[in-house]
Amino acid sequence: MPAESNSKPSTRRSVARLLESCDAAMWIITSAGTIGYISPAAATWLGVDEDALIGRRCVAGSTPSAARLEQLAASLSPPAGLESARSLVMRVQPIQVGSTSSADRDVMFTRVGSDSKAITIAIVGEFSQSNNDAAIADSIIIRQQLDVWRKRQTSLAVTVSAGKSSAAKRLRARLELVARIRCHVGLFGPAGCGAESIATRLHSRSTPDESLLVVDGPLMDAELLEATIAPAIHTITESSSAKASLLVRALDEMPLEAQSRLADVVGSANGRLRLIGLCSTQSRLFREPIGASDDDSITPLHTNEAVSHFVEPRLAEFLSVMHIAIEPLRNRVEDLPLLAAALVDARHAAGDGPAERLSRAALDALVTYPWPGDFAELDAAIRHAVRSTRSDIILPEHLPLAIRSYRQSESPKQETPTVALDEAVQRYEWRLIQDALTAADGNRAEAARRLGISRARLLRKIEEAGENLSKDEA
Amino acid sequence: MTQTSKPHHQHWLVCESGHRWRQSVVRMASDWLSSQDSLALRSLLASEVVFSTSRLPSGVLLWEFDAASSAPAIQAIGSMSVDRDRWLQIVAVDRLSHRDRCAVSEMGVAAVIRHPEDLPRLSRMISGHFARVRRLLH
Repeated sequence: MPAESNSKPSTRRSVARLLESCDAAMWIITSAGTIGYISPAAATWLGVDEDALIGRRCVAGSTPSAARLEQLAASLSPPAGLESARSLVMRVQPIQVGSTSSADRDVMFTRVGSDSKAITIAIVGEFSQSNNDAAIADSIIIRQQLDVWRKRQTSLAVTVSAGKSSAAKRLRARLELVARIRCHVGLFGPAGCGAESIATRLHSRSTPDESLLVVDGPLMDAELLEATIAPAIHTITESSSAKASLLVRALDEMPLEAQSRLADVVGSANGRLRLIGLCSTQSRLFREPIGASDDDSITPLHTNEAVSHFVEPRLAEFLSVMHIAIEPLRNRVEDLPLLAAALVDARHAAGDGPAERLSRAALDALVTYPWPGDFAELDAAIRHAVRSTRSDIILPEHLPLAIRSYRQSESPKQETPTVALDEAVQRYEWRLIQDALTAADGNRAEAARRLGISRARLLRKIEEAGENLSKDEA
Repeated sequence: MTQTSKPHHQHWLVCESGHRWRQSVVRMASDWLSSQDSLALRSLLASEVVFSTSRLPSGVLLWEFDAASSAPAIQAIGSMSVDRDRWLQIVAVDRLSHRDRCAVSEMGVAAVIRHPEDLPRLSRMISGHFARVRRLLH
């Protein structure tokens, strides 16, 4: 029989009446992580009905695509570290649900009860208490920064855009702009930077009713491309008002004839077929005014000389209308704590594990790692860590071995001089011959004996050396 | 005719108990090192700082403060402050009150940081310092 049913109904009613009579804004989070009670004052502050939030999950890191009420409930969740600290103060920044936004307020979260039966009581007010544990205080600061980002970004909150660096700010501004309009878009970033998830999110935000067809650029030839994009072409030819979008992966690695065909199709659709191109490196064309290079109408542009990356000039022209550069993660060291915390929140909310925060040592390991696999590697590392830990905190030993054992070399790479082996051997041989001839007073037979070779072979060697010398002089 | 600049060593002296900041400087040095520069990094004790800085032309001194090391470090910072033109001093400390922060800055400390991810924020200051020192020395 459940423990709660042991209490008398009259006692329960009197507790409920007591809470109702109190004018404090407060809410109670059940042991299952859902909102179990919300006071009328709190509901008024949040601009929602009390019943609208009851039973909703109150865990940080809900998916940005979730309904506003789900996001609001998530924004009321307690900070990480409450299990050990028992009582923490955090500024809660509620997600706007109605037409009016709720002001940010300080909230004291108190955890009562033990382990699986513990509940959390959240009371809005003004508190002088500061969080003494530096690590927990840091995780609260990160949570508050993430809440600001979640509140502003709402449905466009792609995790890769979280951060406080200028690169993150630039990315967010670009995304906000592109999400408001329907135009061709070019996304430029290294492999694993999350460009595809950004592209799909942008598409669903700017044109939610439009179909999106994904094309694998490098696998296409002109014929296969036509067959692949046939559904999109069919959609736009069926009706004069119909529109469709194409998301082309690794557009700059797509064979040139396929790119040419794609440019024909997109050009002839008169804007009804939107192109979202993902490229690994930003082309020269996007950094120069169109027409600045003499040959851009004829020659495809090499975006990277080491690998064959081309963007057909007409496609480049389409994409140059709106292009978004995604900075490699290795250059966004300042953003790493926020990005990692956002990923931990998302994993925790998805029920992957109990981890709620990263220890300082684990964060240090993430910060010093160079991230060759970019954002995808960070995501995989956090997934590994969340699944490895049994507590609410991720320690360095929970991170993948490559990350926790990484030490950057302090000595700069020294260029190895190139050696022509034959020339070096000839030079060495000639020096030995000269030494032997000197020691033998110019007597070639004696020199040959000293060198352990026949006189005829020594003469051939001297002859060869003479020829090489005359070649060098020439 | 193109002018080529001489290769330049950027001296970093790191005064810390472990290797956290040394690793961080190595990882983030590319933010402020030009292709002509190379990083010369050394870890040392607070008592060795004055002697070491007197043997080097210029550089950056990074101090890690904690409860145990702050007293000798503050003493050394005080003695270093006369040389603040040539040496940029950075203090890495987990928590510092506003009052202590002011006191430390009066002693010639250019920046106070908490975590390795704060280092890129100082890139412009560090590269500016080395550029200024180069002008002073040549």
